[in-house]
Amino acid sequence: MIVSHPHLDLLQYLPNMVFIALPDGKVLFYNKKWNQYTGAKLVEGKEWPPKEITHPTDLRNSNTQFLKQIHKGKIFEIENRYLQLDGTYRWFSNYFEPVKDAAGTISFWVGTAMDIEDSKHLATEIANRNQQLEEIEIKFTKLILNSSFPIAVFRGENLIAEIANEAYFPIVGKSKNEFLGKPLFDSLPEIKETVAPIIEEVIRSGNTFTSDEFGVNLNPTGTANFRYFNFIYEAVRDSNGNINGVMTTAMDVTEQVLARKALEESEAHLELLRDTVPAMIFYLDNQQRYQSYNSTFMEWYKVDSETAIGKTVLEFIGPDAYKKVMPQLRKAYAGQNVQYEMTAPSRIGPQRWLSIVYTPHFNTKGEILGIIVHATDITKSKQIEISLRESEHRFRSLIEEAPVATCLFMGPEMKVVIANDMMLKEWGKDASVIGKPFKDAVPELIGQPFLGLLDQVFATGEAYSESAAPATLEIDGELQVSYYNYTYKPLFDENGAVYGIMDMAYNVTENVLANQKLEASEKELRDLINASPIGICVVTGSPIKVVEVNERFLHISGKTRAQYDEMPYWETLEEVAHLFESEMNRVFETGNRYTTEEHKMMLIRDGIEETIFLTFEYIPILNASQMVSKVIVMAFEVTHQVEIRKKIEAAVTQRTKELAEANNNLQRSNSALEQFAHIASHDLQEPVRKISTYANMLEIKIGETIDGKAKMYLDKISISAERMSALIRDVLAFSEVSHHLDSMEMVDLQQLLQEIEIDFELQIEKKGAIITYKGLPTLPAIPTQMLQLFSNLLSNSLKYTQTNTHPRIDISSRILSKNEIKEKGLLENQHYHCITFADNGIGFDEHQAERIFKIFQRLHGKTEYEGTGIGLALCRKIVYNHQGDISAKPGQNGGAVFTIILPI
Amino acid sequence: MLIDDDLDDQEIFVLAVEEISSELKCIICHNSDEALRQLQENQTEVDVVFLDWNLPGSSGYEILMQLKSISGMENVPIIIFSTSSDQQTMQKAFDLGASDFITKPNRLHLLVASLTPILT
Repeated sequence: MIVSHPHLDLLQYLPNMVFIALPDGKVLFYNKKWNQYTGAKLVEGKEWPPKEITHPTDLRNSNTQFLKQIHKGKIFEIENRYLQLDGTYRWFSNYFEPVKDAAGTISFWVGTAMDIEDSKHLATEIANRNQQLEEIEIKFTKLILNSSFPIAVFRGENLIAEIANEAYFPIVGKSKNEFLGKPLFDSLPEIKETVAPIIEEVIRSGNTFTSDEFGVNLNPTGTANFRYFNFIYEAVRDSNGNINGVMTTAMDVTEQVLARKALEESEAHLELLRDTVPAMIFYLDNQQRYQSYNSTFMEWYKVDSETAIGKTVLEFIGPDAYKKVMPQLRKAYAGQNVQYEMTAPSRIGPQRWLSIVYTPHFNTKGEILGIIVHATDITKSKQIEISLRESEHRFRSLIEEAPVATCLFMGPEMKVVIANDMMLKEWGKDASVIGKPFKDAVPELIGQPFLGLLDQVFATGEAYSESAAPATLEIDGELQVSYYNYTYKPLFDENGAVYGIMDMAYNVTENVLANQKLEASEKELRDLINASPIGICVVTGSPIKVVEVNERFLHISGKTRAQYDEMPYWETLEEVAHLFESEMNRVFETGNRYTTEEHKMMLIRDGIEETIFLTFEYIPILNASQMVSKVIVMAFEVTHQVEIRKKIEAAVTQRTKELAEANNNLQRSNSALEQFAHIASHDLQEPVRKISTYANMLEIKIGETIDGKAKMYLDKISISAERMSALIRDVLAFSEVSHHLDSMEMVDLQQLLQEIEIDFELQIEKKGAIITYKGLPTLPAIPTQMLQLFSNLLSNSLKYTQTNTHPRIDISSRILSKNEIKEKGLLENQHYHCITFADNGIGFDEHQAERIFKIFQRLHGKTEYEGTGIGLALCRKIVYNHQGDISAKPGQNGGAVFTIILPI
Repeated sequence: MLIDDDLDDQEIFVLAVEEISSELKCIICHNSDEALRQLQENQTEVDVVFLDWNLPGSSGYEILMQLKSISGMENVPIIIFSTSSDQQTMQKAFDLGASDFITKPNRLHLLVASLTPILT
């Protein structure tokens, strides 16, 4: 044994996957971690790597490498992939170290497998990033080299020229070879003083700097070619984002510089002139001839002191210019003081503006001697005036073309100076309002806040704006309310005083109305939710928070609105979170609603533990992307109902039980009673029969020898015994009626009556009775009971006959109508036969109709009509037993009519 | 043979039989066990059996079936002798092999009249 067991046990505690291999490459032992990480039970005694978990691609290569390396006997590493518990492969580094004995021979190898999946990913990522960076760098370089702008990049502390394109070299006056790879200030020491601080600042701050209009002679050896450049200095960063250089881009601004310089020069000249040139003053005589002029005149016209003297204006300035001045001159020669402005050509500019004043020169007689002309160069002020006019024009067209309703008010009276079509349309007015004060232009605004606000803006100079402000305006002769977002912006003159207000208004009536509608409907919904007798609460997900909750819900849950506002839903309802939190989460995840009815739970309501029953639902609300954004909780407390129902259920159960018991008792006592009647009748029959028999035998034996009285006594015994026997027989029959309920079959009453007629043949013949029956039905019944029923009725009719009259019995049948069924209180979904059994016997009084059906009730003495008083009671019992009914009434012409109702 | 536990009925029955013919021999058994024992011993001597339907112990049906099951008794008529004249009972007795059903009458001459056609 090379490695003893205790050592192996020790390896079990290592956090890594460790194994021991023999010098021949066979693995002696894998520690437990292998099983824990891979889930595989590795077979020991095979060459490394373990086939069960090694990636098939790596298997052969790993094994070959392994065998090759263990021969060398030195520490080595092999990377391969092992299958993990989750079914994925991860990269491992297997580290092998030989363990040698004293003689230096390898006893065994210790292998450790380390998960390097993550670091491997990292390495790949770094490589990818580097490659991307390189690509960017290459692109960057290409961009620079292809640019027509001169660009150069300088890097490092010495600002080595790393890249520069062809356009750049002429600027610095160096060739490519002279410039690239060298420090910037070695190549160009002359710019160090100005440029070095800029570059330093760029590298320090990362900001971009521009040095303006740097003049460069691009042809230092030949004819000077001065160009001006703006140099832009930008920071250049390494892959870690640290600034390690600058990029310089040169913009050729020579044209602009030269143009500006020329302008500056000419302006300077002009200024000089303006400052030094006073007004031209000259005198014209009454023939429009120049009599005298000052030096300014000479300078202006470039003439000497002689040239113009004596010349007429027409001669001196030419016919074209004369045409312009002639009307004014005429006025002046007519004696008026004239002042006008005009443009005139000048040597110091293409056109100059002159303000010209003609003052007529009168003699004492009032005759005009000549005109003193005073002309001043007013070009500059004229230009200002023109530009002002232009800007006003621009402003006006700006307002008129503005895409929103805009107008301009001027002065404290708020005169409408400009109002674009949109504004006029909003006001419901036309262009005639322009020029009027606002309160006259739109008089319906008086009493509304706008006029006051305009005054306020005019007074304070502070702009005012408002959103969705209602304004009542008369449009098409009707006062209408519209809503505006508007701004009153004060306009200031050069002294900072307010001279006008610009009003820009945007009609938002539709939005406001839509919002109002929305708000109204939201309010309605909220009111509805609040007024609902069902607890309603709307929650949003992660963490679940209440966004809307009604009073009823607060009441049911026994929590305050503040509790729901401050804490997540399940913290507020902590005591039931274990029951329903996961259900609610499921609703959020799946979008399936959750419903539970009469759920029993313990809730802490206002600090008191209460066991309640709730019926509630979680209803998911989907957003546009079909995700559950909210869940509505609808809760209905049913504690009271459940309690009442439980009480009712308990009571019903109790009553049902009691009823069942009572039924059992009743059944028991009923059957006991019937059994008793049955047995009693049987047992009673015996002695009675014997009394009869022995009385009869006694009569046979001694009948001849006894006197009349004794014989009568004997007869009385016999008669009583017979009667008793009949009574018992009938009671027995009565007690047995309710038996045999199962022996129902179709009974043909027509045929039954025929049989009964045969049974009663003797009596019928004796009494001369006439019995009619026709079309009697066949119906489901117990045959013996039907026999008994009709036998009894027939026997009854044959018994209670009137003397000296032939008995007549008529039996007929019909089917009961729906109305009759209803009237009689029978089952409405059942059809019934109605059989009438009428005789012409002695009949009975109406008030006795019920009594005749009672057992042992007799209307007549026994001597008059024999009978036991059971017959009709038995008939009723039979009919009842068939779910039918029997009743009797006196016949119209005497006799009795029995009505028997039996189900079809 | 008459199987009846009622001594009075036995007497009346014997009187009736004697009235019909003095040559007729009556074997009286008080219960079914006695009757079964006697029948198993000397079956040939019995021409007809009158069985009271309401005997103590076993029911009439049981005794009827036991009698019928005795070998040699298959063709001996068994006549039910009962106080009751219940239709259902009669039908059942006939179904089980009874030959006739006589309601015990309360006149001797009626009994004689009932038995005469059977015993002559």
